[in-house]
Amino acid sequence: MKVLLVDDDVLTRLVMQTHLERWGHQVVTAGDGAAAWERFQVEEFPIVISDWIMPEIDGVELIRRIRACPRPGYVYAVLVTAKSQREDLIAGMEAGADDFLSKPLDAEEFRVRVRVGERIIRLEQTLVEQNRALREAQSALIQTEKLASLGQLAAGLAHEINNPIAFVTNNLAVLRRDMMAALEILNLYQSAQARLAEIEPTLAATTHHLAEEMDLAFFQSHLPRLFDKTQAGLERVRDIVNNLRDFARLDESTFKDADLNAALDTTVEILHHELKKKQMHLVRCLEELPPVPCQAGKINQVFLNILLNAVQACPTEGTIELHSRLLPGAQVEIVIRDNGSGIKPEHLEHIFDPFFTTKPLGEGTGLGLSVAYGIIKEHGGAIEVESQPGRGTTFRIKLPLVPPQATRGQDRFGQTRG
Amino acid sequence: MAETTKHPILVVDDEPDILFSLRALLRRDFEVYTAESGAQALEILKQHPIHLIMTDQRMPEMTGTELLTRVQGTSSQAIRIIFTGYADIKAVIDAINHGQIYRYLTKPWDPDELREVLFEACQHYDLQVAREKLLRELRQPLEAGMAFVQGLREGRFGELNPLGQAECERVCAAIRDLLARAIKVEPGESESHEHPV
Repeated sequence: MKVLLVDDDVLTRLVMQTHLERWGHQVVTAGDGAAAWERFQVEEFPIVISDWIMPEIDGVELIRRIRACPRPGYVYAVLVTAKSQREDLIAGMEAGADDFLSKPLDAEEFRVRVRVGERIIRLEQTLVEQNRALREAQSALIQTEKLASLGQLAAGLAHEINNPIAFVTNNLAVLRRDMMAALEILNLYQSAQARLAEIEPTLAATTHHLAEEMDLAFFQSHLPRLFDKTQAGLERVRDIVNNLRDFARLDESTFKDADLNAALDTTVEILHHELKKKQMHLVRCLEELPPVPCQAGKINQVFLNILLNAVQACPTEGTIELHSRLLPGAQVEIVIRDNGSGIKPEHLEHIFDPFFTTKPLGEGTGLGLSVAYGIIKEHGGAIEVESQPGRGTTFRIKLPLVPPQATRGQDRFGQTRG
Repeated sequence: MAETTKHPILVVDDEPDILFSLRALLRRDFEVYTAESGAQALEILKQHPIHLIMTDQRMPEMTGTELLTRVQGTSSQAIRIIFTGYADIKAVIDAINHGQIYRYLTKPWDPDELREVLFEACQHYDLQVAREKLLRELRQPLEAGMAFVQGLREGRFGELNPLGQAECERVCAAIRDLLARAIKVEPGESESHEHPV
């Protein structure tokens, strides 16, 4: 264990260092409080052993500073002193000392006291580790439940929205057709405007006035665009609903053996244009894989969604790495890594949430990765992400060679459909 | 298209908004009948010669495939089309595989594509009707020919040598075969068609 040893007496320091190193510790020494504090600030020491009385920054002050320093992980602090008065000990503990070593030093006592410190640090480390694992498990659980309930909502929503989209889209097509026909008639009428002015001057004046008021010319020239834009908007709504449907897996399909390396290659082929446009480098480290039972189309979609994000995150001439390998425990791993802009830590836990997007409004639906997540879960696999802002992002997909039987004929959320 | 050549089609959906919308789209090219339920649709089929029936799958009481199965059992030769949201795809696949459906369309549909499919379907109907008519028309001369050959064999027009007898047998068999095939074409029967991708 790494120990910071502070004593202004060279000889004592040397003796203690020799002992500590013999017991297998890694020792960094400092000749006074100031040097020790400086060292402590740049390095991590689970154990600090400090002399009490030193010029300027003494042992108590050093420990006080250590305690005030916000750092993960506990520091076990031992004060070495000739003082044994009750008041002194209280002052030392008040400052944050865990233990005392009395001078002159007894080697055996030194050994056992350091070992106590070591034990406490190890316990603390175990605790931190368990805590972290617990938190991870909890957040994974929350994520799963959140996505499950969202999935049900999405399924219902997609179905409900489908009908209105259907007739609104249709009505729009009818409107466009009939409106254009009506405009043609109107144009013919207008060509007779001069003749009308002769026969019915009042009517001609009124129609002229009304046409001016609504800016008929503008209306006529803009109508096609109005229809185009409305239709494009509707198409976007339809795409969102389609994606939601994919996310909730409303349609059935069967598992078939597939070559995932070939699937990766196919997907890259689809993105060929995008990759070329950005002059991207592709590193392909694919190991031979056994056939994986899966819904190949959906797995392609997962690859596509992740690769698309990777391309978009990368600068020109960026690099995308593809890795595949067989893992012990009958599963395969596909890794897609880019050296792009990375994902901010605060975004990382949301990237699989439906509708979460960092793209500008209207550019991304925020469904790509949640669809990918849903598909991988449905295959009994796992999808993980690591990212460092400015350095890049790694997606790790694991798929079992034996797909989950229980999910067949049911949707992902455990409900049989009626 | 002249008024008289419009194909009568029947659209079935439990949602009136859909019927209203489809009628507006199709009124110029087809004679559109609408029904809000399977029962209503069957009623209309009894009263009007419908060439094409297009139904939603998901309806209360009678589903689209149920309706089309029942239509198949009647004398109606209407081409059957189903349109559906994704959730119902399994029932539709079954129906297609059982030859009950000419085509399926997904909701929301593309208006242009829908019109195209309906035109194509009506063309298919016309072909089917023309084929049956042709076979029906063929039947009379075939039967007359058969009677003649039979008479020939029985010596009503004079004695035949053995070679003539054999030839009569052969022609008789060929005509019988053709007639059997013509009879086989019963109304309401059509082959199953290409599967959507």
